[in-house]
Amino acid sequence: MTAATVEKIPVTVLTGFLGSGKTTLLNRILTEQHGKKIAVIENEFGEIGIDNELVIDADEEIFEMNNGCICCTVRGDLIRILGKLLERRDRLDHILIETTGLADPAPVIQTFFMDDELREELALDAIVTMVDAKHIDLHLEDSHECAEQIAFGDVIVLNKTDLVDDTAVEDLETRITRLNRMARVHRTQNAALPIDDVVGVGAFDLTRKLEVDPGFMDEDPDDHEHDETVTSVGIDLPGDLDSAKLNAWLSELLQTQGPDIFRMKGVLAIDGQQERFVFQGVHMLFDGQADRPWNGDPRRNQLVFIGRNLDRHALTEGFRACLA
Amino acid sequence: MPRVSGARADLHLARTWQLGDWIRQLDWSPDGTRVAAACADGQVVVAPATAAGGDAEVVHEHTGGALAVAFSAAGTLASGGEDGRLVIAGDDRDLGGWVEHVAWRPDGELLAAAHRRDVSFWTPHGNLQATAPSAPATVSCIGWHPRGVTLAVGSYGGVRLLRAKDGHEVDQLDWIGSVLAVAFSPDGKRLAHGNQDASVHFWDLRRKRELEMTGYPLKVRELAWSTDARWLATGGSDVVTVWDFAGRGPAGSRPRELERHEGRITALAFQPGGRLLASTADDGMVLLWELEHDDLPLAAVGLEDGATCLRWSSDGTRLAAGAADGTLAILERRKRP
Repeated sequence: MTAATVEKIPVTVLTGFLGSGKTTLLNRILTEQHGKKIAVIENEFGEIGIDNELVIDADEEIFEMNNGCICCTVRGDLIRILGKLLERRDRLDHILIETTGLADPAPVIQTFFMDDELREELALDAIVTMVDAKHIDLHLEDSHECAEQIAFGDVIVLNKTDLVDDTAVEDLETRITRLNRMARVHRTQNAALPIDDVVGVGAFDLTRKLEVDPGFMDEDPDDHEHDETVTSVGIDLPGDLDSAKLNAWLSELLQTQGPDIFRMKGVLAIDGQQERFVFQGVHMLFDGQADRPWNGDPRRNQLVFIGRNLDRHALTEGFRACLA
Repeated sequence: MPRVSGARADLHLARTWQLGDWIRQLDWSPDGTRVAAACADGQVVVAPATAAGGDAEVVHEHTGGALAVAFSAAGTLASGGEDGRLVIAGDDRDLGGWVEHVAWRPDGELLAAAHRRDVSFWTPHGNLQATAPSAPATVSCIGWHPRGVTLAVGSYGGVRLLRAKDGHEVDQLDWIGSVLAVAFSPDGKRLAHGNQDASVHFWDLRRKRELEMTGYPLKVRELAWSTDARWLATGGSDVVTVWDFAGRGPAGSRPRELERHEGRITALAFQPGGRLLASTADDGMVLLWELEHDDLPLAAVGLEDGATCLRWSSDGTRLAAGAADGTLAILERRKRP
C-alpha cells in the first residue's frame, strides 16, 4: 500500500472568454515551468496550439448528482480523465484545466469536492480568470457567465491592457474588485506575468491567511457606480460566535441562497475554542477546520461572500445574531 | 506472505511478472494458457500462465495508455487505448477519442467497443458490423446479456440496451445520475448498475421494477453476480456488500457485509461455475470468500502494492490479479491436507 501522506497534486482552473488569452497564458506556463510534468485538459480548441505532449481534449460533460441539486453539478469528463491520469506511474507535478469560454466554473470546482478519488489525490490550487480589457464591457452586459467567472476567480488576469487607455483600465479594475473583493488582480499585456502569480497560489488552502482589504469590510453599501447583481459582501465583527446559532444560520442560508452564493470564506472565533476556525465554501459545499490559536490576538470574525443578489444588511444582521 | 486467521484453504502466488505500470484490465485466454494485461503505460502484455512459464510479451503499444483488453471465446485478443485505437487480432484502426471498453459477446463472434459517446460492433476478422446511435454522454461501461442478445451501455442518464445484430436501441432504463458499472445477472432476468452517487440500482427486466440501494461510502464501480444469479457482490467501500436475490429478493433486506480488507475494494469476481467469491482492494490483498459457509475469508494473498483488477480462469481454478505497481500475479488454490 502506498503511503497515505503523498502530497496532493495541485490543479489550476483557467477560465475566461474566447480571445481573453487563456491559451497564450497556458503556453507561457508550459514553456517556463521547465522540468515539471504538467498535464493540460482542454475543453475547446483554441486558435493557438499548445506545446505539450500531455494535452487531453475532453468534451465538457456536466453531471447532476443528488437528484439534480444545482449546487451538486460536477464535470463527468474530468472525473473520468483525471482518474485515469492518476494511474500513471510518472507522477504529475501540476494539472491545468482550461474551460470553454462560456463555462460556469462551479461544476469544475465542485468536482474536486464531490468525487472521492479526486478529493483524495488532487487539490485545487486556484481559479484563474482571464479578462480581455478591450471587450469585457460587452461581455459583462451580454452574459451572466462573464460576471460569474470573475466572481469565482481567485486570480484575475486583466489582459490586453495595451488595447485600452489608462483610465479605462483603472475603471475596469475598480469594477472587477467590486464584483470580487477576494481575488488578486494582475494587469498584463499578452498574458505576460510571473508564473508564480498564477501557479502555486494555494487559494483553496485553508491554512493560508484570508487576505481581504480591511477597508472593504465596512464599505458603504450605497457606494456603487455600476448596478451589478454580482457583488462581494464582507463582514467583520469582534467577539465570539455561538456555534449552534452559527450552524443553524449557515445551514438555512445555504439552503435558501446556495445557488446565488458562489464563493465564501471566513475566519471565525467560536465560543470556547482556542483556535481560529477557518472555512470556505462553493455554493452549498462547505469545508472548514481549526487553524492557529488566537493566543493574545483580539478575537474577531471575518466573513466574505461573493454572489448574486446578496443582501448586505440581512447577511450582516443574520451573522451578528450568531454572536454568543 | 500474510495469513488470515481462520482461513480454511490456502491461496498462493504461483507466478508473478513485473510490467511497466498500473494494470488496468486483465483477461484469460479461454484455454487458460495465457493472461493478457492492459497497462497505464500503453502496453498490452500477454503472459504465459502454464507451468512451463516464460517471459511476458508486449503484443501492442497504445500511445498514452492501454485502457481495455479482452480475449474472445475463440482466443482472439482485442484491446483499446487512449490513442483512440481499437486493436483486433493485431490489426488496429482509429476510432477517435479514448477506446475505453471492449467486450466480446459470450460466443466470441462479436466485439463491442466503446469510444466517447459511441458503441460499435466488430467481427473477429475486424470488420465493422454495426454502429449504435450516440449515447447522451460518454459511455462509462458496457456489459453483455448472458445469451448475447443485447449489450447494456451505461452512461450519465442511465442504461440503454442495444440489439447486437444491428446496434439498434431496444430499451432504455432511465436513471438520474452517472452510471459507472453495469452487469446482467447470469440468468438474464436482472440488471444491476453501480453509480457515482454511491448507490447500486437494480432492474427487474421482465416486470420493469426497480430498486435502489444507497448508503455506500464511496462511488460503486465493482459489481459481480454469482453464476446461479443468487448473489450480487458490490464494492464502493472497504467492505464487500453482498445482496441476496433468493426468494423475495433484496428489497427491505440487510446485505451480507464481508469485512477484512483494509482499503477500498477494487475488483470482485465469482468463480465460474463455483461457489467462491474473490475480492481485491487498495490494501493489496486478494481474498477468497465462500458465501455458503460464513462471512470470513477462506484464503488470502497479499501483493506489494494496491490491487487493481482480478479475473478467474474460465475453469475456475486460478486467479489473475494486477497491481498499481505493475505486478501481474497468477494465484492458485491449494487445499490443505
